[in-house]
Amino acid sequence: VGYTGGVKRSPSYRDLGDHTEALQVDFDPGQLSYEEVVGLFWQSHNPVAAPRGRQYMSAIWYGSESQRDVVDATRHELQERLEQDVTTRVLPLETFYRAEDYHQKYCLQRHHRLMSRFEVMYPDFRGIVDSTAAARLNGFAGGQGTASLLDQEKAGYGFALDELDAVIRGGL
Amino acid sequence: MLLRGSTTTSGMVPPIDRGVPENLQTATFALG
Repeated sequence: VGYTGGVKRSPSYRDLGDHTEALQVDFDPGQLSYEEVVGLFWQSHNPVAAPRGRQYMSAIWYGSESQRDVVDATRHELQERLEQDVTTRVLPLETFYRAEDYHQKYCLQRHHRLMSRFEVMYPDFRGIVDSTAAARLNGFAGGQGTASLLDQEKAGYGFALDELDAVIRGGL
Repeated sequence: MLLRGSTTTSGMVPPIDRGVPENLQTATFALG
């Protein structure tokens, strides 16, 4: 997570300037298309909400013309279907500033035992932010996914079962 | 900065973090 869309250099949570709170996700286009990722955004977002200022503005930032085409097409389709004005803005991506560490993998950070394992594996916190394992476990910790899905992919984490179990049960 | 999937000085990263493809794409969305 981080801040983008503004001109202020090196924004922070307490000094955001003209930036908007944003998230950035790296994905493998061999597994998932950009259109599918954008579809997940539309599903989990209220695209007709009244604008609430720059900090919480609804927007998609495109990184290429082909991304822009996908966003424009799906936005148009959504607008037709909802028969309402979609307020989400479509903007070119410029600099994305990472938010402070305590905002990253927010749900996972409540799990101190797992976090201490990650900190040993990735002494630089940026490694945790970029970790697929941390991203997926953050999702489970936030109530996404199911116990059976976590069970299927447990070998991919290399952690003890009781450590993973706490994530899905909500135990800390 | 450590490369994703690399071996750290302190131990191995989770298997799921190893062999991450080079040609990842990035998507950027508002949180609000």
